[in-house]
Parts: sequence; C-alpha cells; structure tokens
Amino acid sequence: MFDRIRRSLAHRRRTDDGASDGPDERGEDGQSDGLRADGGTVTESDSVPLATRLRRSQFLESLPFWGPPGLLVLLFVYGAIGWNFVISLTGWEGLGQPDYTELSAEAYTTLLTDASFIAAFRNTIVLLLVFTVLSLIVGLVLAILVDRKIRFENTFRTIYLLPMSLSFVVTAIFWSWMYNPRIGLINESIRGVVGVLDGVVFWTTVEAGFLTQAWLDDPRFKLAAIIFALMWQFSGYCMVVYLAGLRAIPTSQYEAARIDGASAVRLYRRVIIPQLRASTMSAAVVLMVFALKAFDFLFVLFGVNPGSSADILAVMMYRVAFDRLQWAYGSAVAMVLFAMALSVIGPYLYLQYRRGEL
Amino acid sequence: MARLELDSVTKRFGEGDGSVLAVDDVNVDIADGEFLVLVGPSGCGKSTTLRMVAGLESITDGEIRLDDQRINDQAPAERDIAMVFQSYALYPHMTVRENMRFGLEESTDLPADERNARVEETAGMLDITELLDRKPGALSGGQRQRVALGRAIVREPKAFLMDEPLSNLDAKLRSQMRTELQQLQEDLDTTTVYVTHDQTEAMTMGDRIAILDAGELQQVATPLEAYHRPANRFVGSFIGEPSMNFVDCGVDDGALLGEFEVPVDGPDESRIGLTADDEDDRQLETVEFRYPLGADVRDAVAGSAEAALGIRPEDVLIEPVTADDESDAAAAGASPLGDAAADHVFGGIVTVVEPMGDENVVHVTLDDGPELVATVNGLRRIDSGTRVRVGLPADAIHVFDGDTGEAVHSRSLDDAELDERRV
Amino acid sequence: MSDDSSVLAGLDRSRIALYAVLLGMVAFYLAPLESGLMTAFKTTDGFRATTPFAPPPAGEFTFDAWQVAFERLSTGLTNSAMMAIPATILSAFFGSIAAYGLTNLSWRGQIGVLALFVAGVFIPYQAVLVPLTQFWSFVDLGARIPFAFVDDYQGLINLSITHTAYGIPICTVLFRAYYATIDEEMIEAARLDGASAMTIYRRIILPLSVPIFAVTLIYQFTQVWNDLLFAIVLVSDPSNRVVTVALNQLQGSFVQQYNLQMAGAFIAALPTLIVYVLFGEQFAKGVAGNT
Repeated sequence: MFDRIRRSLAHRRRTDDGASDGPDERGEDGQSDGLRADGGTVTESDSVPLATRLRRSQFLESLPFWGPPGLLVLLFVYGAIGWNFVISLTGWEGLGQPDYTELSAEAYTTLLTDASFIAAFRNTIVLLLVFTVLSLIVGLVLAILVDRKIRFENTFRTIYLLPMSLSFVVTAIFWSWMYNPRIGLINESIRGVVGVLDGVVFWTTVEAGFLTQAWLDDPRFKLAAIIFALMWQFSGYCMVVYLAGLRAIPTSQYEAARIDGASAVRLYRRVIIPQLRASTMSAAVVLMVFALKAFDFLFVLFGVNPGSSADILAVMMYRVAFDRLQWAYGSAVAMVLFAMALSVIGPYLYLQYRRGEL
Repeated sequence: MARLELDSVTKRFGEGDGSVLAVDDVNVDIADGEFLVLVGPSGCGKSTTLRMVAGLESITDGEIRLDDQRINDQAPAERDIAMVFQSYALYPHMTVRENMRFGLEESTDLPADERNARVEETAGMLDITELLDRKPGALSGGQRQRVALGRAIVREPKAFLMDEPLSNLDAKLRSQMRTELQQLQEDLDTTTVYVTHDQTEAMTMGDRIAILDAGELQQVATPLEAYHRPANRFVGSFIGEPSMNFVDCGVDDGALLGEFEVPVDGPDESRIGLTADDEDDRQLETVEFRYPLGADVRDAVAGSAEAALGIRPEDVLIEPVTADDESDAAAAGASPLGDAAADHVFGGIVTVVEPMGDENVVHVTLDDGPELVATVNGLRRIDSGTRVRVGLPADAIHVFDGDTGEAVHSRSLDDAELDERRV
Repeated sequence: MSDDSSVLAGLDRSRIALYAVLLGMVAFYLAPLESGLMTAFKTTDGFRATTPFAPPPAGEFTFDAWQVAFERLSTGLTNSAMMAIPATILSAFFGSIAAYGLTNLSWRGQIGVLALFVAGVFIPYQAVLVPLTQFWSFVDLGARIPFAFVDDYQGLINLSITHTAYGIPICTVLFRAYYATIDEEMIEAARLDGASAMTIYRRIILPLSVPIFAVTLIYQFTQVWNDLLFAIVLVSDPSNRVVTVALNQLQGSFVQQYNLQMAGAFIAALPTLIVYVLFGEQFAKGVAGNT
C-alpha cells in the first residue's frame, strides 16, 4: 500500500523543486569538496547585512502591526504630555494663543506658595492612600469569603463588582442622594439604628443628631464621605484581582496546612496572604491611578469648587485651566499630577520588567 | 530529496560577557534520505540546532547547506522544510483537513482539488481519514500526533525536522509510534533530523545518531557503533541503559590501579540498609583495585596518567560463591565467568537486585572498592547479600583517558558486526 | 458520634455566619442602587415622606420622573452610542494588532515599546487636556472635510478619535496577556508552512481572538461610555452632548428633584448595566487584566 502511495506522491511531485533533485553519489562528493575549499563563507556572517538582520528579527514584519497604534499613542499620549509641559512654561492665560518664545518655570514656583495647591496636593495624597488601603482590605476580605466554596458564587461576585461598571457621574448622583442630610439613606439608617438602641437599652440617650451629619457639606467629613463612596465603587475590583490571586494558589497548600493543623486564620496569615503580594501590588497601582483620576466624581458632586477640604489636583487643574483660563498654570498642575502617576507606575513597571512579567 | 550539511554551526545567545554558547562548532553531513537522530541531555543544544536548520533561530557562525545551497539567510518558509513539534502545534480552530491543507495553501500554488487530493492521500497513508473533519480538540494525543505528522508529510518537503515528537505520548503508544515512524520514513525516503533526549529512541530509530553535550558534538555514528565504540566517556555513559560502569583509576605498570576507601569490616550483609549516618561512624580503610591490561591496551594508555575503566553491565559476569566451592575457588571452568582470566575476577557482594522480568539488574560492590551494575538473565535467581565472583573480561573493557574523557581503547568486536545494516 | 454532630453544628454555624456577611455586603453594594430605583418611581411628596429604600407608597407611584429624564437624555444617549461604539471597536482592533506585533513577533527592543504602551494605561487625562483642546481647534475637521455630517458631529468625531487613541494602551495590555498564552510552536509551525506575519494574524491569531475581543470590547465600551472629562472639555456644541454631560446638567438643573435625578442616572447607566448583566464574566476578566 505504501508503495502505491509513494509512487503517486512521487508522480505529482512538482517541478518547482527540480533544482533540489537529489544529487547523485558522484556529484555529492565533488560538491562538498568544492564548498569546503571556500570555507571562508563561515566567518562571513559576522558582517551580516543590516537588511538580513532586520528580516531575521521580524522587526519589519511586525512594524505594520504595532506601528499605527504606536503612532497614535505616541502622538496623543507622549506628544501631548510634552506639549503640555511646554505650555506650562509659557505663562499663557485667557482667550489668546500661547507665546512659545518666552519660556519660564514661573508657574511651578507659584505652585509652591499657592495655598489652594498645597491643600489639593495634601488631599490628593490622603485620598490616594486611604482609599487604596481601604479598598484593598475590603476587597481581600470579600475575596477570601467568596473563595470559601460558596453557593451562587457568580451572583455574589457579579453584585460586588457591579458599581465598577457604572459611570462616576451615575455613582456621584446616587451618593449625593445617599448622603442627603435630611432624608438620605445614610442618615435615615443611623436614626433607625439609634432608635432601636434607645428602645432596647433605654438608658442610652444618644442624640441621633450627633451622628447624623451633612456629610457632603461639612468640611470635616467631606473627604471621608468621598473616600467611602469611591471604596464602594472599587472594592469589587480588588475582590476580582485577589480572587484571581487566590485561585492561582494550589489547593494542595490548603490541604497541607490543614494536615499540619493550622487554623483558618493562621493559614491565611502565614501561607496565603504572603503569596498575594503580586495581586496587592497590581491592584494598588490601578487604584492609585483611579484615585488620581477621580475628577468626574467630585466634579458632579461639587462642580469646580469642592472647597479646600476636598479639593484634589485633578479638579484644581480643570478649575484653573478651563474655568479661570489660566492655561499655563493648569498645565503645571497637570504636570504635577503626571509626575505623581509616574512615581507610582515607574517602579511598578520596572519591577514587572525585572520579574519578566511585562 | 536532499542532503543536509551542518558546517561549523555555532549559536551564541546574547552578546558580550552575558552570552551563552548554546551550540559550538557542530559538523554533521546528513545524506539524502537518511534518518539522523540528534540526542543528548536537556539543554545540550539539540533543539537549538534543529531550530537553526528550520530557520527559527539565526545562525551565529558557520553554515547550513541544503542540497549544497547555503540556507543561513533564508526565511523558514523558503527552506522547503517541514517540522513536527513536541506540542504538535496544531491550529485549534481548524479541522484536521484544514490543518493539513494550510501549508499547501500558503507555500504552493497547487489548485484546490489537487491540494485536497494530497490531503486525502496523506490521511489515508496515516490512517486518519475518518478524523479529517474533526478539530484537534476532539482528538486523542496519539491522533494529534498523527495529524502533526500528516501536516508535515503532505507538503512533501526536502527534509523533515522532528523535535521530540513522541515525548507527549504514553509509554505504550510511544513504542508503537516509534516503529510506525521508522517505517514511514523508510517508505518516504525523506531526509529526517529527529531530536530526542531518549537514548532508546536514538538507538532504535536512527540510521545514525549524533550525540551532543553542552553544545558540542560528541560523536556521529551508527547506533551500534556509538554503543560499542563510544568516542568518549560521555557517549559511553549516555548511550545504553543501565549506563556503562566506570572505575576511575591511575595507570600503573601495565595495569589500571584504583584506590578506594571501604569500611574495615568489609562490604558484607550487615552494611545493607544502613543509613548515611551509620556509614559515617564506620572505620574506613584503603583498598586497591588492580586490573592488569593486555599488551595492546597497555600501549593505548601509555600517554595517560589517569584512566577510567568502562564496562557495559551485560559484560559484567557474575557467579555466586557457594559454600562448597568457597574452599575450592579454582573450579571456574564452565562457570558463567566464561573466559575471564583469573586476575580479572574479583570478589564482591550483591547489594541490590532490580528484577526487570527479562533480566535482573544487579548492583555489586567489589571487595576492592568499585561499585558495579551488572545485568543477568531474568531467570537467574540472585539475592541481595549473596557473595559473588565478578568477572570483567579483558575483551569487553573500554578505557577512557582520565583528563579528556576520550576513548583510548574500545572493546574488541568483530568489525563485521558494526558494518552490518540494521534491519 | 456526639463529636461528629458538634463539629457539624459548628460548621453549620460558621457557614451561616459566612452567608450572613456575604448577604450584608450585597445589601451594602446594592443599597444606593435600590434606593435610587425606588426613589425614581416616587413623586416628589413620595420620596420626601418615605425612607429612600422603601417602595413607593400607594398614590405616590409615578413614571413621570422617567419620562422627563428620558426626554432630557435621549439625544445624549444617541450621541454617546455614536461616539462610543466606533471608538471601542477601533481601540480593540488597534490593541489587537499592536499586541500581536509586540508579543508573537520577536525583535530586539520590543520590550521598550511595550513599556510605553503599558505606561499609557496609567496616564492621568489631565496631563493632556490643554494640548488636546489646542490640537482639535487646529485640526478643525469640520472646516477641512466638506461633509455636512462631519461639520454637524465634529465634537463627537473628535471625542471618538481621542477615546480611540487613549483606549489603545489598555486594549493592547488585555490582548497581550491573551496572546502570550498562545503556543509559540504553533506560530512557528505556521511560519514553516509558509505563512507571512499578515497571514498568521488573519488566519491563526484573529480566529483565536474571539474571546479576548469580547472581553476588550465590553470593558472598553463601559470605559468610553462612562467618561465625563474628555466630553466636557472636547465637546462644546450642545447638540453633540453625550449622555454623561447631559446627566450632569440634569442634576445641576433639578437640584432637589431626587426622583428625576435617579431616573436620569438609571437611564444613562442602562447600556452599561445591560452589557454588565449579560457579559459580567467578560467584564470581570477585563477588570482583572487591567494591571
């Protein structure tokens, strides 16, 4: 049977590989001697022509793929940032066009003495840290709970992540209603709980008014209220990241720890959570960047003037540039924001690169 | 239909100080229609060599010629070479038919009906016709393996490259495919380079085998030649299972002389089952292992200060010492020790016996120090703890230079045995 | 025996506590939505007189808020769709080819280019706002391209292109994670089969990308739809207003009308909510890959 097939295959062998028709015994020997004589070709590859090197490296082949999107990113992201930096040096204000001939770092020196910048900078840092830590903790707890082989896991996960799919505009509107001092759900709930407590433990006469506050108007609570609402929106994200991290840990480790007699708390504290460092890091980076971008949420709640207790750089930049038309100064604030983002992602990307995960 | 030559082929990854020499000056000349097996431990550069032939890795230095044409700078697609990958690398979203047709569509301008006819034919040859309309995900490992082969065969390339194609199959299927692949290659008569780390595959499949270690070619030879005339100690140890025995010795007055430290109370039964800690506590004494050499071998080792005695397990002869002939040790005439001269017979004790069915693998420790592995017929009953006489016949020994590891003497063998074509 | 039952009881008790906490968190995450939804169906008197999460009392149930809000937002909804759908598809496509060129084809220095793409994910938009407004006022598509359509929808087109460009980094990251899992030997097999880089993309990679396209399209659609900042900066023409801007204005003009605000919020969020409920799994994957 093989013979028949081989013959038919040989029959249809096309002539286009005629050049490679097997050399006969005599030719084989003669040829190889000839080639060995000009063995100089061996070292020739030290000076491979650039064209060959390029073809080998697939650089040219890959260019049509990453080139066009790369160009868009280069122009819109990196070009724009560079341009923004130049604008920040021009002192440009008002309705005219920037004058690129006289550049000075005046905007940046002004920043250092601007009380509203210092307040916004401080608030941004507080928001960044508190929001990130809080969201990570809530997300981790949720992930551990959801990972305990529960029923309807998908439903729970879907609900916890739901706020993440909503626009800041939508969530800001929900929370402005939640925080309404007279009839919002937060204060209504506090009154309800205090009422029940009063009924049960009659000797506590805590005034409900002491706990119900104008959360979004009172400078003491504004930032905390914002952080709480943002935590509500993004802790589901942390849960998803941690859950992926938990699922990557082999079950055998849980079983081994059980056999070793470790309690659940010790198991998580000693074995599991230390292995979630990578998840924590990547989630923290994303959260910090979200916090830097939290403009939309504050803008819907407070417009361009959240007040010095809740002002953040993202809002300040918009106010200065697009409300007061101090373009150069706004650009300078934007550069500070950019530098903050860079100081978060730079080390992160470097670490990813070092671990070969980029 | 092609001859494939590797001429001083070298591969270096990276540049400068951090660079790694993966393949170092490899020369192989593969005749048209030959089945060459590239074998070596993992990381020895065999896959890199294959990938350089395929065009998937650039060649740092040297030249690869296919039919006397330099192909160093040709793209993989231009080389008219087909490759079978370890993971099979089938396209998961295409049916078997589409998988096999893909290469024809991309590299030839055959009309559609001819492409389909070729696919059908190849599928018939490999007995996978009924799988043609299934996708790889619905196939078993063995079936995927056949499809991967079919995808290479259907293109009728000048050469096949196979990168450990059987390593993902279970043992039984692997030995079955081994035979089938050999048959197929013989029928197609296409030049084939086959990479494996499995010395059994190398021994049974190749017309010739090329043994690589640490990027360097150790030997290119027929399987039997590599087995019986290993060019160096590495080849001797790599080819053959169980591995060849080596005894490191010095060269001393026409003999190989090794010094060993053994427990004072001797390698007797009481030693078996002791832990390392117990061993440490034992008193050691130095004993000598002396192996007199024949005149021809004496000349061969003349230039070496140190040498290793090598002997295959099947050449190590073993005879139990029974109580009655302990006193009368000369009665060795018709014993399994055969014609081993008296000074090539050593006393020892069996430490471990691994019954394999057809044979027993017997570990013995000689009174003079060396620990050796011997294989004996599976029907012979030998227990651990048995005292034995061990014969190391002079015509079966190999001697390797102590410094370079090069073979200075190989076992005597009728040359006709090696030249005989394998069937 | 008694030991067994006490262990079981303990187990049950801890399971009950577990589900209680999980349900409590459900209440926490859904409370703003639930009370918003209830409020949207109440009259003004209704929401002032009742607890937010309670259903509308008899006589205070109404669709009025929905009707008013929908009228105010309907143009915004169409505009958002016109802007977000092309931007999403384009970003995903660009992300796919960029990830292919930077993952499955190898060349020296690609890690550097890749780093620029990845860093692009994290750039705060504020850092480019001023140059962007300058850029689009110079380009002035409406004056350059003599089509009524371009002139009418100039703001939306600018916004769509901007979102496309800023969506590329995250799309590239999502695609890259997926393409890195594709068997390298399969691509090599295709190269040996004679396929060019283009053919490999078209015939091998693209057909295998369906699941990751779903993830990317869904994630990116919600991101573009939900954005407010680019929209308020780049779109000035009221007829080109997208739904997030319209919703923000609705909130500003009906300050104490919480029923109207809530109805508006739900209408504006509806497309993303539908996408989320239908494709929650893909959205979660997109979110998890956002690192």
